[in-house]
Amino acid sequence: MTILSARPRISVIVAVLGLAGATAAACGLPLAQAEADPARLSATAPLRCEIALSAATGTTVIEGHVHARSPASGRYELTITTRSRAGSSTIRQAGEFTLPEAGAAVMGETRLSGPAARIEAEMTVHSRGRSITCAQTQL
Amino acid sequence: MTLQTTFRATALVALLSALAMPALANGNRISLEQSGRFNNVGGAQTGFGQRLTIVQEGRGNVTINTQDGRRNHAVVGQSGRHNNIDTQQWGRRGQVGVAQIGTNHSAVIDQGGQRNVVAVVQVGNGARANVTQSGSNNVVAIIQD
Repeated sequence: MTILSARPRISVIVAVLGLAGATAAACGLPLAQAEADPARLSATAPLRCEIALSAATGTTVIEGHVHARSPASGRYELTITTRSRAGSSTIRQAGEFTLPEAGAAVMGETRLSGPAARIEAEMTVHSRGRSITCAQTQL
Repeated sequence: MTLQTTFRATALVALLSALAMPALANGNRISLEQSGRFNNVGGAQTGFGQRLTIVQEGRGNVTINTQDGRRNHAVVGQSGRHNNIDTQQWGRRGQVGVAQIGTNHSAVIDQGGQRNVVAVVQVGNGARANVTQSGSNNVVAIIQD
């Protein structure tokens, strides 16, 4: 075990780390600001969940949404898996949410390399003693 | 030669001592580079604004890190094969950046709190990334190529 001085391989790692940091900074946007979107709400369901997929420059963005017709609070769980020749990823996001008024809120955001066809996602929302589950929306 | 070896050994012991003891003050920075096989690093930091940077080159290397507090940053880079990263952050606005180049690497990241961010870049085959976030407004980006 030795301490290294500067070497070419290390500089490659540092460059990739810079990319990772830039990606983190680019993704570090505030998310859970409820926005009114009554048109997307079901006429019958007071609360529903949605997994939104969108393509962005070789990656797929996965967002977990909660839609409510009235003020609501609860807990969400979002599980995302993907597999390719390069490797596999499993992401689990969970937490509390509060919507002070009717509308929608984004619970979490995940960006994965590759097409949406490789991705499996499932979201469960618990509120007022009930639970609902939704699967991914195909691109 | 002997003096150089002694210096390296002394520096390494100092770094490992710093990592072995939890850093309790704020704004601390720890940076460590290792090459070879089967190296292990464990780091623990408590406070806010902590910075942890670890670079490992070789195979079978392991780094296990824990950060408690707000706005902590952990950056880990590994090249080679069969290297493992296990990083935990508890608090708000933590950021973890992981870069792994080579084959059969593993990255396990756990975050608890709000507005945490994880970015993982894995280049090679057989990589595994497992990210668990508890809280709200968390963001993950994973690139596997």
